[in-house]
Amino acid sequence: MKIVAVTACPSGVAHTYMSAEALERAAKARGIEVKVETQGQIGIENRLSVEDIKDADVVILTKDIGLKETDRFKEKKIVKVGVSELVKKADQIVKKLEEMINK
Amino acid sequence: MNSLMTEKMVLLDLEIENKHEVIEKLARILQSEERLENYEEFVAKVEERETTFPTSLGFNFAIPHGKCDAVKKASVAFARLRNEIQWSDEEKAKYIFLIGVSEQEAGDQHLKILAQLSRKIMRDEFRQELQAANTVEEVLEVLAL
Repeated sequence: MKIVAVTACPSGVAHTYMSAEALERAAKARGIEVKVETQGQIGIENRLSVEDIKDADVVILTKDIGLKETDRFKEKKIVKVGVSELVKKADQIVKKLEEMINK
Repeated sequence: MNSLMTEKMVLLDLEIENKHEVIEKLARILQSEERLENYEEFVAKVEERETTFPTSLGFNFAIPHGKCDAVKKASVAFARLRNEIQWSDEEKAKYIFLIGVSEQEAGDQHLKILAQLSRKIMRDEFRQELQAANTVEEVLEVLAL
């Protein structure tokens, strides 16, 4: 299973990166492949490639502010979450997605 | 490179009653370290953010922050409280990072350091080291800002 995600937050300074870290840790703990692109004030980092997106079973997008280049995901299964929710509940979110994908 | 934090910007085992006091206390320090253009404007910005979206993270950490022209120099002030205080409806906080970034910082090295700090806060080992630190010097070492 592979998850890709894009995270962003209003100030682009902290939650963007905290949510990325939380998701990466939660997925790795369950043995799930994961790649998270951050769209912060620094700009886009760890950009998702066409391959990354093609291989992903699900795409997580944070919904607090508009994300750039979301047309990349139009063929994919998308789950939208609040950035703060991802920071606090990454474990539960990953678990739920795992159940959804493996059903 | 100018540091985001100096030893004067770390407060350990602070006795304080509520989140407003912590924010004001830490902002005063940024002010006296000449890192703000405008104290009132900065505090208002941070409080506004807290009202719409509290910055507590769930494991006794909170990261109030403001990005505005009232900030002269990107800064982080840290307080470890003696007792936890209520931060949002559901969450308490004992470890507080007050972060100030100016509007012009885009692409700056400071933002990369703050991104790294944000990631570190999510790591258990980092939080444990911060809890175990006994002196301001030890805290600075753990934070590595």
